[in-house]
Amino acid sequence: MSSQQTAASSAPAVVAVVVTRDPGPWLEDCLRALGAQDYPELVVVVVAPGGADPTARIGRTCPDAFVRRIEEPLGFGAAANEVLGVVDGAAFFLICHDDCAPDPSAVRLMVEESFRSNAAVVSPKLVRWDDPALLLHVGMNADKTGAVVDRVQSPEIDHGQHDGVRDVFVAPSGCFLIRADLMAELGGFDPSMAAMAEDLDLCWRAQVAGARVIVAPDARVRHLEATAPGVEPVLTGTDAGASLQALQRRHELRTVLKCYQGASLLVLLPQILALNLGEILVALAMRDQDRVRSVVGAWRWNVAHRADLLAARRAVQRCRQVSDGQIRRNQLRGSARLSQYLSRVSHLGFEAAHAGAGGGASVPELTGSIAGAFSEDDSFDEDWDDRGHRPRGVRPRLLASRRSRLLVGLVATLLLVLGARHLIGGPFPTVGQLAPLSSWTATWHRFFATWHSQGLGTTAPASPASAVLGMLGTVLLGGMGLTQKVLVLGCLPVGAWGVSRLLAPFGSRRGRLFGAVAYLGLPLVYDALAHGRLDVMVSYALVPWILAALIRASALDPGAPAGAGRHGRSSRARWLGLGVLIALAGAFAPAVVVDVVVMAAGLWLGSLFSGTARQAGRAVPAALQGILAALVLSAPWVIGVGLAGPHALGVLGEPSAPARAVGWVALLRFDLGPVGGSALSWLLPAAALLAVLVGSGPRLAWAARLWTVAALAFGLGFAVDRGWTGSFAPTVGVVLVPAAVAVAAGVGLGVAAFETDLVGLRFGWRQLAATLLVAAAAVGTLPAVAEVGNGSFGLPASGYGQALQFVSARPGTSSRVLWLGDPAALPVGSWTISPGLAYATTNGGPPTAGDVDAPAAPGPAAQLDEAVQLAREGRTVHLGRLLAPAAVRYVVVVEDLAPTVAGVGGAVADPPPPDLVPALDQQDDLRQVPGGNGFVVYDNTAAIPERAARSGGPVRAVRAVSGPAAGLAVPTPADLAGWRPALGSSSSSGYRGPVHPGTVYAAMAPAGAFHLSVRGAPAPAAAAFSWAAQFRVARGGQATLSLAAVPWGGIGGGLEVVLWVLVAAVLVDRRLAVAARLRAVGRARAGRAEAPPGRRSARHERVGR
Amino acid sequence: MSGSAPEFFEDAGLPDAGSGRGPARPGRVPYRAVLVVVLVAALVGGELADHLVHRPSARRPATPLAAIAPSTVESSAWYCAGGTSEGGSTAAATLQLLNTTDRPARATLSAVSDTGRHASEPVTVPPRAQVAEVPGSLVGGNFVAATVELAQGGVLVTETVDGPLGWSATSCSRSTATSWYFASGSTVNGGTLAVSLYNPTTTVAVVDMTFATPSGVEQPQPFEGIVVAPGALAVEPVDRYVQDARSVSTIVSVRTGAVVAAALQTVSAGGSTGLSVRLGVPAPARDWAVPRAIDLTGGLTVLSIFNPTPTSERVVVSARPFDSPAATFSEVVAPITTWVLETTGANRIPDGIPFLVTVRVRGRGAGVVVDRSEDAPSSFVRPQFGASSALRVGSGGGTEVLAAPGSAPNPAVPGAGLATLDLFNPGPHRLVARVSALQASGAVALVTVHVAAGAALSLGPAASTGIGAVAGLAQLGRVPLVVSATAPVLAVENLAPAATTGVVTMTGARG
Repeated sequence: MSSQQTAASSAPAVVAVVVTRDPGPWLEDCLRALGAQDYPELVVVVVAPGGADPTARIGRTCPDAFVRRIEEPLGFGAAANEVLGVVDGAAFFLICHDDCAPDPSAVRLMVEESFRSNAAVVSPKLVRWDDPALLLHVGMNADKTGAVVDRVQSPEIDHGQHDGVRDVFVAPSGCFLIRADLMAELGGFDPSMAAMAEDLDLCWRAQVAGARVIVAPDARVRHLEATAPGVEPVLTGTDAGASLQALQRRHELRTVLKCYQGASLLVLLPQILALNLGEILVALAMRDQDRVRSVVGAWRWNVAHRADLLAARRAVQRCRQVSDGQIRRNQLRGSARLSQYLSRVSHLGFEAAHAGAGGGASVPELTGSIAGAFSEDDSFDEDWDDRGHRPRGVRPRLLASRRSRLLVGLVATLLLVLGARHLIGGPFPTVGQLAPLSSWTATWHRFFATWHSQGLGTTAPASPASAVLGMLGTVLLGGMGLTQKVLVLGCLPVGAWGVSRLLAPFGSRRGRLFGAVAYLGLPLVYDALAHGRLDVMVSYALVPWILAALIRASALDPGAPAGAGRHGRSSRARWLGLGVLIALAGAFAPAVVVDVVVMAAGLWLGSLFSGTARQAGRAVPAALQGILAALVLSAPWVIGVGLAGPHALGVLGEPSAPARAVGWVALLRFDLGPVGGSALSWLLPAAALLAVLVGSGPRLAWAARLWTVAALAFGLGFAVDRGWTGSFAPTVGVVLVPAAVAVAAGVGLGVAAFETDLVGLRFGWRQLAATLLVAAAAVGTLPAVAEVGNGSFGLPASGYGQALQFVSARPGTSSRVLWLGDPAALPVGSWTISPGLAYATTNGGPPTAGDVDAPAAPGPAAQLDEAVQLAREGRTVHLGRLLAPAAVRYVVVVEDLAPTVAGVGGAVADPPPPDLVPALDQQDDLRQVPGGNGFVVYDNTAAIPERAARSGGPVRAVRAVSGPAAGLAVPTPADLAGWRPALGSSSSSGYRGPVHPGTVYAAMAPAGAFHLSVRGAPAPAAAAFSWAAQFRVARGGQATLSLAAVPWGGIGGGLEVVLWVLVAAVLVDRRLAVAARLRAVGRARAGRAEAPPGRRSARHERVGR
Repeated sequence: MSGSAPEFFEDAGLPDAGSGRGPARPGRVPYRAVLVVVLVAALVGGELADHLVHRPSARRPATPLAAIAPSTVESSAWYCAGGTSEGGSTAAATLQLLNTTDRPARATLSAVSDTGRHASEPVTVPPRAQVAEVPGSLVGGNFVAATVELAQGGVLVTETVDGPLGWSATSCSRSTATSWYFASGSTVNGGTLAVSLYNPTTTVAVVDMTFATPSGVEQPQPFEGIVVAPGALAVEPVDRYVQDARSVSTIVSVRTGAVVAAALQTVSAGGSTGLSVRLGVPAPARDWAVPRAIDLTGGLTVLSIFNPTPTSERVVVSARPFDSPAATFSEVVAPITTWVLETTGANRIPDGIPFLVTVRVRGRGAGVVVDRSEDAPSSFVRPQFGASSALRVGSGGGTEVLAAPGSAPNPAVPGAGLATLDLFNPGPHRLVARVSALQASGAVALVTVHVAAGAALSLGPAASTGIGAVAGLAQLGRVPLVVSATAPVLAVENLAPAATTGVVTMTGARG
């Protein structure tokens, strides 16, 4: 017996409920389709709320249909509910829009499937009205927040990929079958929901009541999506002015508030609130006012309708047969809306992801940048079921799905978090450039200050790094420890993201993934972290972005209109953006300017291979423009550096001892520290050769450019490492960053070439090499992965801050510490004495973050250099006496990167020149302080306080113009005798304290910048040792030593901040303009692609479907 | 175009721009080979450059302890130890301060005794003159050490000691060090050996001492963790713990701080007496030389070659009498072991003929420390015994300054004077050396000589071979000498009265 015969004999009655209002010509098609059903027990009821009376039209087409005419313009749900009062004895209701046309067997198949699957709600496969080969909906899913996500990416060609009966969370209201008793028990649709999300609400409640919602794809229904009965009356009624998005959001929220149990709500509401808050922030940033209003309005509306909501909630809970836990298993994991948004951002970029925002226009399609080139679409390749499980028989494509890439990203994130677990929990040790940050106010003050204590005192402008740190600290509510962690540890993901973005135009998602992971797998950044090299870390984070910006600013795309770049952005905006990036990176790593030049030159020279050098030559002027912009943005500091003369090169980095050069081989595998010594470190650079070996077309051309960049960076790094560049010695780690970016990008390009350029070739050496090199890229990250166990990526557990607390000046006194050692090991910004030996001073104890950025010129502190040189050359045994005028109380020789703790393991050894400690040992007035491994401390027995007073006369020493101490103001014993600490109290107005008649000495340069007032009257001033200040005090009393100089620091800093704000405004404005342009393009495209033959329905533009 | 439109993906003139789908067959692009070749060339070139270009060593340059500070220095200091005060009388120390500059040198002499007494006095040394100071007279006690601190350079300070057993001379040190080595020493037949540890710094020093004897390495507990306070002198009587050892080599290792170490050896057995005061050697070296040695019938000339390093060293000793083929001796010296080579018994070295000794270390080790000791028959003029360090090749300069054994009116011992002035040319080329006498009126040139590459030359009253005696030197034996050479030269004086060459010596200081 056939199924048809069975249905004919004992078929349960089905009532088709068609809701219509002022229908178009499709109503007849709908009625004809219903009339043509092979299901024998089908009765058609047409509900017509408001509008013109369609009875005559219905009678002509379907004379057996019942028409229920309602004068009130009800919404769709409320209108459909009318059937509950007028029909009795029906087993099922078929809820229909008037623009649906079921296939003749659709109703029968849905009824059959309802019995077979014991489902109360059955959704058919909805296809396009005019082209049934295109899918519209095959059921829908929803996440825990009620956000609805379609299972198909419309328009999607129906080739049977969804033809399996399965549970879904939502049966779209266009057409679905529901058991009549369930409909009655639930009370039908929620009448408060005039439009939008009423199907979500009904299906959710059905599942709460223990019903099953499935899709029966064999039952096919054409849907015009042309009309939305009930919408217009609602929109013109109480909810006039509410957008469809607003309706959707508030109804989603109402459904959530109704359907969850109380305990579940307690857990979920904070999450929903957090998500909503984040959405609002992003929407505000992108000027998506409609979204902001919708999200906020959803909460306001539900609060306003709380009484009704509570009643509805009680009704739902009375019907509950199933716990929320079971319901949740039917929902999507995570936040569907967030993942959809992130997917758009990752695929389309920030602007394009928001291009559809505002106005509810269609968002750009999730085509990805290479959609036309690769069949890599997730849904195309893989058909995940609703629970996120891969169906049997579907062979996975490695890392092809978004989910698998997300998984890799999560694993990488987890490894980074694990690897930095010790760093996250506690403060950073004072190692390298990781000195503790001052408070956010002090950091800002430092940026605007006119005088700084570095060296012996300087009026050179502060580095822009202070402003960046101050800004970060302000944003993070003054948490400077958190600021430092974010700054340091954030460099890793930001850098990897930058490489991924750099590779985006090449179109291979796997390539982007491999490139980012390869970048994370290179030892360079971990070695930098282990050495506390913030400059290398920041370069690591920003150079990939700079390279991408440089490429954009170079307008290498021949297809772009002249003078225009990405999305039509003007050339001025492009190099301004490049300049901002360079300025940001240069604030912490001035040597990044060298990187920019290297990259520009590499792009140009690399283009010689492909014969496009003329075009690529624009990279060089673009780089220069960007550098110029960066210099202007940092103008006060740049001017200060320029005035330093020959010392200016020192800001790029200081030369290390050539004897400690790491060598060519180590550079090639980025082995600059504890990570990277393994032979496995060769694998990533080797894998980067893949694109050269098997790539073609643009992949080969760009591989050539990237490898040229890498070669130049390696070469320059090698020359600097070996000390061949003299005083031009940019930090080797910073110089190597472009090479690291090139290698990582080369790995990504290689994967892209693997996917693209080997297609169709017979198996041969290329496939073999490609497979091996792709595997090598994966294995090459193992040395970095192995560091995870360390918990701090090799950064020493303790730094000089703790070990050298004893050199801190006692309260009420003031003194300096002279630091000597290899510039790579000194925990403070320094000046070079000779390759491998640098010096610096700190005020009153161990260094702070303010000491990390030394001014380019040492100023009067240069005499410390000369004094140390005298000692090294055996030309004095009185170094302490020579250092005394500078108030140097302690001399710290740094021999290791960090103090060595016995039994715990040593840090990286960075010994100073071997003659230094023996030379200091010979000094009669330096007393070595016992204890400590990794450093040697000398107590200067001849030291005088930084601010001192004595009853005797002034200092008489003058600068020697000849002899061994030429250039030095050599103190006589009388010059150093009798001084006592004075002016030990610091306040905003200066240094205060009582003084007695005699002389007050201040070892603070420049001499003329300070004045002393005693009892409010100025004291006569004179220079001591030709740079320090001394004052004659005739009458004792309360005195104040204060700065008496034009506040150039504040003026320059203020102008710099204003300039940054202006540039930021310009760039944001440009970006918004681009976003607006994209939105317009998106709307126009959507209009072209989606325009129906008749009136376009707003009903189906709802967000998320 | 989507948001991530490939704007630099598309290259002019390149195939498949924008499509992402490349041509089916890679390898057709002609520049691939060029690119690969360039990359390989860069790779290999970098590696070659890394290997071929010399990488400077980070090793500390060896500076001689007794180099005279340039006259232009801001300040300088000399540290002297090893002698006794007049009260001790075994080896009463006298400091010889030689001012090589043409302006007066103002110095502060600070003396300390082993009893902890300190005293200091200002000293002024006239231009181009030498003065003698007795530190023991300031502080008394048994042993004495001193610091001579100067507000300039150009001054050489040496130390002579004399007593009932004889006399000796040594240079003082211009620096402290954290390790000191003494290759020779003996505690047999009533011989005494004391090591003075002088800490002239302001930091406490903690010192360990290790001894290598024929019976093995000894680290007596009393010689471990010796604390030497800042500015203090500690004297360690080695013979009390290392007894009846024919050969004692000593390592002074400073755990913290730095010291100056000097050894005082006395011999009084079988009618043969003598003493020697020696400044330690702060580091082993690979090449050593003794420009002039003589085996006497009935006497004993010994080379003590001490390997203080943790690795074995192959050492080759060459003894070359003037105008004769060299006799070569080779030995692998184990770590912390001393090779005692008695040249007197060697058939290939004739008695009575002066010979040049060179000691070279083969292999890559840090090197050895070499001492030479002489023991003449008791019938010879006293002192019959003396020991001194060999000359470290590489420590010499173009100018060598040798202080006189006391000033003419105040000799170190009665009749003290020059026996021979020995010059050794360690370089590969012949050099020309001019010997001058430093007098108040200026330098008086005495003689100009040629010294062949790798050869030694002796001048002076007792130089019976080679070019023989030079007229005038005998008369000027009690004035400082300056040797100016066209290449680095090593100079050493053999002083009289003494039984034979090498009993009392004074090494030149680089000027």
